[in-house]
Amino acid sequence: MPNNNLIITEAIKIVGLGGQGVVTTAALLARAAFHQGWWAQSMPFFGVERTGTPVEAYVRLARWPIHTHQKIEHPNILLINDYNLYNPKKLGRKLTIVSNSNLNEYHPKPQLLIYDSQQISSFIFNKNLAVCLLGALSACWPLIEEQHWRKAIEEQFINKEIAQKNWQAFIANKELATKLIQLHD
Amino acid sequence: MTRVTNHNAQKLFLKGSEAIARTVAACKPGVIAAYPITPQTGIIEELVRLKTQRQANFSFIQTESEHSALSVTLGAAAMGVPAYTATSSQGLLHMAEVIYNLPGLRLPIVMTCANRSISAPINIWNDHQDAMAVRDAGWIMLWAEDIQEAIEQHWLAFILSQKLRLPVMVNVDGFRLTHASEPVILPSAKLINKLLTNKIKPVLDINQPQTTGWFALPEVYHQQRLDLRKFIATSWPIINQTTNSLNTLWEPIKHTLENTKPAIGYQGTATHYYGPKRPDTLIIALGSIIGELREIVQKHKTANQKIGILKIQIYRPFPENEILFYLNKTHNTIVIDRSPGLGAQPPLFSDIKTSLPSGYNKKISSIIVGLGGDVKLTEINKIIKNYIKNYE
Repeated sequence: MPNNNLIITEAIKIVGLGGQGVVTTAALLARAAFHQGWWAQSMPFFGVERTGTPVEAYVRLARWPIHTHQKIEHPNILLINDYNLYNPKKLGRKLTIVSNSNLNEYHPKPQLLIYDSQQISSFIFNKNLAVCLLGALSACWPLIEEQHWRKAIEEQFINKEIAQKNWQAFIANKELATKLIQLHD
Repeated sequence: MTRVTNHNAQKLFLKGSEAIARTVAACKPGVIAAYPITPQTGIIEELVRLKTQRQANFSFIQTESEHSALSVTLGAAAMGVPAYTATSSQGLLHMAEVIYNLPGLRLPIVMTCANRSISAPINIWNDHQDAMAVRDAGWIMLWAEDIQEAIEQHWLAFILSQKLRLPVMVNVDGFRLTHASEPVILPSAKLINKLLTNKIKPVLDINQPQTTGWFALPEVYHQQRLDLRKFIATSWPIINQTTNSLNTLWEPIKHTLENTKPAIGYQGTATHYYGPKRPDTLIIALGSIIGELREIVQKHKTANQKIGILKIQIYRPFPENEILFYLNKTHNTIVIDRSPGLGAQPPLFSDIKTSLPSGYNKKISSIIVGLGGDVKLTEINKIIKNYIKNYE
């Protein structure tokens, strides 16, 4: 995969529920992009800070510094970690990935992937974590190289065991999403 | 070209609060006292993490309130120890009494204010109402546009506070900067301490117990307050010299590491101007909203409209001469406040209005934007377009 092939400012939104690691997932994605050599920004927008309430986090990626810090309302890429938050009328401009334990769907344009990330997440972490969606993102949008994802995970999680679990979850989700896309093709 | 080695600076991907905490730790304060409040909490958490991991060496005192936190730093500064605290919103208001004491006693401390709205109703997001409530207390007030600037301003704050013997407040927009993660260039402790002496002449001595800031009769009190007012108003040469020496040391290192040229525009002591030489419209603002304004300028550039942005980095003492220089270059000025100025004009607008010379007859308007956190580029753009249209 060619390096540094980001042409526009990429606006990414990650939504999920409090406690699913939505903010960490956004930071991890931005960190991986930073190691790729891009300018990256991640920021959360909290509702009232309670476990189980909707949480949004935003990521902006570009090859030049980004000055704005406002919310992202119309993202290019949208990751949804709870199916109740999914609205088919509000999709990412080019890519939407949704976690749903009962449904497998793939549409190529604009890309929409609905798949079960929860099974892997429950197996590895014993709970549903948004970080799994990054594996599927990497399968659908392979601009960030695997080594940079790995470096970002190792930096983000200082505990080696936790970093290893996150890496496993990333790879497993990437493989699962790749298979689903290939099945459609 | 300056060769940059790792001991001068590092390029890292950091959350705003972590970047601020690491800079503060590198400035080596002796005492840090704080009480948690959103969105300041991350700064103190990171400082404590650095201390527990033995990467920093300061006395940390978690107090029972913000009033006590600032009082502890006051005591430390009186003993000649560099001290730091951070707060937000209601916490800052709770400190109000001590906030006024520090400049009166001429004690240097550094405080981060993670700007947040104030009650009621309760809101945790960002605007500038908290800092504006204490803007005339005698503090030096700095305002950061992004995380990188917040890092540099904390470094500057420690130097300035000690040179002027005044407290310095670094205002950093809550959530928008404290909770955002971005690539930053972090100066090393060794580099920071090239300009920072950390030597503060103590006013108290445990071996010779005495008091400070004692009772003053009206004549003495009146004169002392006026002297303080005069000192702050005439402190510009020291501020100018300090910012210059910091920029001369830091800018080449930063830009070599980032591989970029210095920021486009004109850098003054207290302001940064971005835009055409003679703008039709000048927008003046504080804090991270400047980022959104930069995008607007870039859009209008293509639409053939000449808009300039004046960012105020040092808000107190108020840089009226620098601002007037730009006001004279334009015909139409828009002042953006993120504080409503209840019962009066918004604070920044009011400051600018009162510093205009008699006979200034160009148009100057006020906009209040983003109270309680919501800054929308499209809405700001719409308001500005309307103003320009009405003016034309």
